[in-house]
Amino acid sequence: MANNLPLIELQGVSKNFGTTQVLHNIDLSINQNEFVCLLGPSGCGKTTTLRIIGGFESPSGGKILFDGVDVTSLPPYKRETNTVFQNYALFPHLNVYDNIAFGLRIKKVSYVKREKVKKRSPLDSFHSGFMFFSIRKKRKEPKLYKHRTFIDILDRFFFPFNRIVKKISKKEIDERVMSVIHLVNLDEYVERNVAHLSGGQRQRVAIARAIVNRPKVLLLDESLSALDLKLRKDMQYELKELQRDTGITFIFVTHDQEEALTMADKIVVMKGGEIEQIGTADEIYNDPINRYVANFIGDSNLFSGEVIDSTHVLLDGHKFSCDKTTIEPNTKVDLLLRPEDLDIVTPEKGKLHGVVDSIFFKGVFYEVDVILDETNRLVTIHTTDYIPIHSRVGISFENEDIHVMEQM
Amino acid sequence: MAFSNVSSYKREKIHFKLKFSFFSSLALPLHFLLLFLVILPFLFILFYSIINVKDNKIYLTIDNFARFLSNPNFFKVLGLSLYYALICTIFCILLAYPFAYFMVKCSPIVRNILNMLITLPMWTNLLLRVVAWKQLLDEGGIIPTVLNFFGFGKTTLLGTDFAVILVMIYVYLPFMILPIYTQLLKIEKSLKEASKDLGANSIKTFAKVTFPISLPGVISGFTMVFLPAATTLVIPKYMSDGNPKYTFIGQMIESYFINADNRYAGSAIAVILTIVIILTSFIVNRFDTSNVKDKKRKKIKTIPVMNSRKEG
Amino acid sequence: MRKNHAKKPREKGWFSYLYVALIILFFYLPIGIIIIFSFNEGTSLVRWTNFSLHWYEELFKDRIIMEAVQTTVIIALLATLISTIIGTLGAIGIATYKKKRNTTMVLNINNLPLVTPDIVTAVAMSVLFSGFSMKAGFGTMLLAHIGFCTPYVIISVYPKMAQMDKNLIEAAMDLGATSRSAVFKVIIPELLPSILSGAIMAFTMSFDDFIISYFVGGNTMNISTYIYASFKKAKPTVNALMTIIFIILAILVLISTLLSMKGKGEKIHRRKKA
Repeated sequence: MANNLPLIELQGVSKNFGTTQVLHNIDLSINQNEFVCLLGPSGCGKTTTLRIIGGFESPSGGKILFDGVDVTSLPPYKRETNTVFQNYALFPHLNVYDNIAFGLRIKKVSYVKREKVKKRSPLDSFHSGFMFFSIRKKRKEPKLYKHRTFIDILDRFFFPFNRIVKKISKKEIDERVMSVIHLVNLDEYVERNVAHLSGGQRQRVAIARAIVNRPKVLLLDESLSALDLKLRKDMQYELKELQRDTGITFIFVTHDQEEALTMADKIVVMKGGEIEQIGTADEIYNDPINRYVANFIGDSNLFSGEVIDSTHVLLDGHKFSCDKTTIEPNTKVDLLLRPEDLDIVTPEKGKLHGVVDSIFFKGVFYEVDVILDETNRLVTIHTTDYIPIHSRVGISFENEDIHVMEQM
Repeated sequence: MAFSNVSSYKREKIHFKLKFSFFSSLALPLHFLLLFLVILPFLFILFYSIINVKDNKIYLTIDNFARFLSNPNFFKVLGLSLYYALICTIFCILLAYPFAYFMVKCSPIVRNILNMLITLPMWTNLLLRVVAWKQLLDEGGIIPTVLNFFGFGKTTLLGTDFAVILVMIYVYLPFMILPIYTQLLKIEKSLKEASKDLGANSIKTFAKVTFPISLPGVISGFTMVFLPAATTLVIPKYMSDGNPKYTFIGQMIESYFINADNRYAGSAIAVILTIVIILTSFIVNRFDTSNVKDKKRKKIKTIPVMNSRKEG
Repeated sequence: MRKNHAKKPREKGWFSYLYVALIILFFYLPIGIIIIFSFNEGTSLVRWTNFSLHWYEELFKDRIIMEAVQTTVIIALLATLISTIIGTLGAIGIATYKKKRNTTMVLNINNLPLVTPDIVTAVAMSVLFSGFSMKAGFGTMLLAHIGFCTPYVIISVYPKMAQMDKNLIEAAMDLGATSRSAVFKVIIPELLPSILSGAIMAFTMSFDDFIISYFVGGNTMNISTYIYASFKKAKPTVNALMTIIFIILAILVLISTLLSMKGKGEKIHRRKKA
């Protein structure tokens, strides 16, 4: 990236609706080209966060920075974001083409052409020197949208008359609209009434309508939840591909953990108006920060235990070795064992022992529920072997499979 | 055995069909009613408009039409009715649109109360309301008294454009507010947000999204106000105070029908009026752009995606 | 700057409240003045002399007005009853037609009196009755009222009937209901709210009607035609009549609004519980 400033920064953002506080001091930074998922159950404030970024709600406290510039008080039509609404919000009085062309026709001016600005701007030398590598790199990538950098914004700010405001011609609008229509595979539906489209097609129109404006950020509000399972899966891949092709930053709100794991570069897990954890899909899954995140993402067996020393923990009264932990000895902790990390072995070899309570065939694996001897605790194990019900078994796992989490 | 099974199945099916024809037969009284009280009356005016009776003999004739269509006074009256109705309708749109717009922004309870307040005068007897206005505008009524107090020398406002149009607006304004309100209520908040998201400020959002979507409401309000206003009998009668300038088409029909008892001529006016009305609603409905039709583009220009990335 | 942004809607609100209040005032000022001065002793609508119920006494003594009121109420009740029955059964009937084309045709004919101006309908009815050489009077007035009220019942009931799940009827029959009991035990209870609103609409249309009654009523007068007939000599008794009608109407509308609001509230409440 050209600079290390994050594209979007939320600083201590909070939001009240009347007396209820929906967001508590959210701090979040999002980089260019990222696919970010805001994940959480309904009512956790994820949609409100998105709406604050889009400019539909103004925060009760805190700041929002775009490229380092405070945009907190900017209305949505002055922000470089576009939104795909949950119900798509397609204009019923316009056909597919006119819906997509809406934004271009409103603005009527296209962005500054960098080459021309460069010749005139006294900041030029600084600009090109700073940007040298990134420009080269960018030319190789196929992109719909030409990024404007922080320098561009400074340029505009100090030398506003150097800006070349070019009217978008009808022909250019047509070209851009048609190319996006082609991109989302809607060539046959150009002049259809949007009311006569299927759910998936409407969604494509909504996406096309947003990306045709070449925004810096695309906000998607539970955009896949209205689609059926098969279509949803297809759209997940298409969205991911689209994001890679266009280089637009996507911020996606969902309550579906699988959707988040599939698509996101960065997952933001939220609960009750606060951010619980930010990380890649891998990090969130393998190193959940607490019991809540662990439960929300994937299946999990949770135990409460205690740290003995930096490599040992106490689980159900037994001492197990684990990966190095930084948590102080003698603190109470939550311990996580993922079902797929557990193996069923003979009772002698197992670290834990119990009786199989039930077994379900899940296609790729069997889900086995084992009741532990001493504590009567239910442990779920995913295994490829069939284990007869009521048989005594042992459960084994590697040291690194015990994930140690601080108690909430 | 098998045979009897099949027949019983068939019988059941027929039985079922009969049951459904029982439902259809429920509409029989309606059919009679529509035939005798809707279709026949309209056929009768068509028939009456082309006949005349002399010495107990019926003649087919076009005299009834010819006598009006060759009479410039008739066109004057027709034009005047349409003109005043149009002015009233325009005022109604201008007054009703902001009202409906603000109404939609209110909380549901306030909306219900406002709705009630609008329908209440609408349901009060028309004659009573017009008589009330007549008393207020006439000599000794409150409005001329107030105007006199400020030094305007009018003793009565009856027989002026002001009185006629004011009362028309009073009577027909609710018919404009309600359809616009219903249509505006249907517009989801997210559509306005989407428009702002795509770069339109509040004014552009109104011009490009809210107003076009609410247009069907305006159009149905137009027909609900314009047609009765153009054919009103009561309002000009009470507001004109005998001024012949305000003889509208309704009074003309009345004068032929009730006063002169010439139902053939009256029928002819009614037929002409119906044709004018049909034409008007046809023209008005052409303004309805909200109905997007599916079309296939004649030639789809498929531009390779890369072309649009010239700038990148 | 942000403060400014937050303030904006409130400023707009101030203007809109004023505007709404002015329009409502426009609607109610004449009615209010008439109601107040109907209790005035004198005939003036400007100068208040003394409180009296004089005009109300006059009103109840006036035989012609009382007869007109009686005619209006009887015709409105009968027309509402008959047109509601015919309209409801008709709506159920046409909704079960196999061919949608027939349904649409009936609906189009039904809409004819709704879209044509009242005066044309009035002329048409008048011509019809004279064509059958029926004497203008109570009977023709009632027939005409049934004729123009039924379409209102249909447009109120038919959409609900068309929306109704046809499986409901089949389920009732499957459970042993005959066609007739299916209509009375399943369909009509389901349609009741829309039947009621159709009936209310029919009643008000009939109650307020002037022009059709005027053309077909002959010497039979309802309230509207009575007022029209006494055009030259508008007496304050008319104002007393308006006051009574308006107050009754206001109470009815208030009750129905409260009921519908309460109904909605309960629905929301129930949904929340579920």
